[in-house]
Amino acid sequence: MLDIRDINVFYGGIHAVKGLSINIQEKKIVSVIGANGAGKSTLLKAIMNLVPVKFGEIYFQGKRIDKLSTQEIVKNGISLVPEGRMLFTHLTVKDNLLLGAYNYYKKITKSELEKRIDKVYELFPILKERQKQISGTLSGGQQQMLAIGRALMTDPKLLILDEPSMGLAPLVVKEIFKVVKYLNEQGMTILMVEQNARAALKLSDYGFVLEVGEVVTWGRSEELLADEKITKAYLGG
Amino acid sequence: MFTVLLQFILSGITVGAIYALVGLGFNIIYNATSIINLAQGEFVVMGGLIMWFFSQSLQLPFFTSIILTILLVGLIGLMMERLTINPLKNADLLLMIMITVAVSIVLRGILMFKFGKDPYSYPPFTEGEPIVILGAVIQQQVLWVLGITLTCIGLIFLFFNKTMLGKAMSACAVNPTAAKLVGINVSRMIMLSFILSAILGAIGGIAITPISLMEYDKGPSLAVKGFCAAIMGGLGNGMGAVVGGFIIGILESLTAGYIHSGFKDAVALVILLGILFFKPAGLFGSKATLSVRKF
Ligand SMILES: Nc1ncnc2c1ncn2[C@@H]1O[C@H](COP(=O)(O)OP(=O)(O)OP(=O)(O)O)[C@@H](O)[C@H]1O
Ligand SMILES: [Mg+2]
Repeated sequence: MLDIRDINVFYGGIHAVKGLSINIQEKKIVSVIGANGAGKSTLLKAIMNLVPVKFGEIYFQGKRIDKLSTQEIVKNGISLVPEGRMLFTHLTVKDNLLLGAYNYYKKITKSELEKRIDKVYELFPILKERQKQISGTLSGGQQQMLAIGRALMTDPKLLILDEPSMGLAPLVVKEIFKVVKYLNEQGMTILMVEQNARAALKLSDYGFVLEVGEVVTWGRSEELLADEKITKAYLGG
Repeated sequence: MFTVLLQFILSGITVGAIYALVGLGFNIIYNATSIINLAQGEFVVMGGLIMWFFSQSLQLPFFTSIILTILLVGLIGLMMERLTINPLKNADLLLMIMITVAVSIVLRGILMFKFGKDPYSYPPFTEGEPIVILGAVIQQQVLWVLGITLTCIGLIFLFFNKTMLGKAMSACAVNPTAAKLVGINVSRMIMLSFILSAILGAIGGIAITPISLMEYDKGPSLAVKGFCAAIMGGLGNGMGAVVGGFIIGILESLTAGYIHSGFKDAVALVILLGILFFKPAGLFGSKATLSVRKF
């Protein structure tokens, strides 16, 4: 579904992603793990063309996307929940969701739009209760839920999450992972970057391990969880 | 005694309306880009001079002239953004602000070349006797200025608070990356912010010229006062800028009337310094907004 071929990303002189290739199959959950600064977020930004891919190619459903604008990539069915949530903190919960569907205003009817919002509210009922609240005043967990909800409003085929569990209590993380699992069961493909590597691998079908901008190992999640070298290095023993 | 005071206040409100529009224009661009557009005053000047050109020099009908002026100044705003701001997307903010200064100098040069250094004016929108309230005389054009300004302000607020396009524009300001991620074309929104600001300025210029005349080099002083209005209201706070604009206009007029007209232009600067020293977030801004401000 998503075919990343030998991509390279630079920040000035820093070579942050070095000839990285990853292939993501449809309807799978795929995790990317790695130490701080390994280039995980950079990889995700490159997929969305938030940072330019200098060499290499990215294909989504057979179509080359690495030269498309972020807006076009979103239209093609990829949505990123960015690191740090990046809500429109001055707007209400509902407005954040409405803006999530910005690409669709002229294309879908009001009732379809409401239906899409209701779907998000079903996944995260708290958002419905808080729909008139200014999003900047939500708790961390609620903000993460809203960030995911907003990303879902673009109706993605591939949902990408950058550290969704960052700074959240275990119970909230559990709830969010449950939703991710549910979305996947509904047919959505998931690509996830996580510090919480053990939990992420347990949830996912495949895992990729990144080290200074390169994939050093990858495989089925069970295999990675069983690999002693990996558990020592990334899963805290 | 009271009549004189009222008269000063009224003329203060009239110029204040234009400062309010300039201040609002500053905020629209600032909110979309964090840039302070120091060519904002030139939009007002162009509004007045181009309106003169269409309505007096070419003798086009009144409404046609207004529409053409607004379109032309809007187009100039668009070109300014596409030719100078857009190509430098990721440049340093201070550099971008310097570029707006450069644009204002170029625009002034062109205006002087085309119009010379003379002041221009044209007849008020409606002929007729001034209105007298409590002994103070109000020219009909003053009512036009106030009516048009308040209408524009109202429309801008509806736009940003009630329409999806307006909310999307504000979203670009708060988090451009997130705006891109929901499929908003951020570069187009920035272009739109320049067009909107240019049009607001032009409308102000069109309305005020019959009262206060317009010449090619009025831009910088308008920009300074509009900027003070924006700072006073808390940079980025639209309603704040409007209130700030009216306050500066009134204080200026009172200073000119009761002290000396030579001090008039110092009023805005004194207010600006006072605000920056004692209440840097502006009258209506909070500390929180100050901390996210980029400079
Ligand atoms: N905007 C930037 N400018 C310069 N260097 C950057 C920039 N963003 C990231 N880098 C560098 O690129 C490398 C990869 O960063 P990236 O954010 O992708 O890491 P990460 O794996 O997501 O880390 P973390 O787990 O801390 O989120 C790091 O060395 C980082 O310092
Ligand atoms: Mg990261």
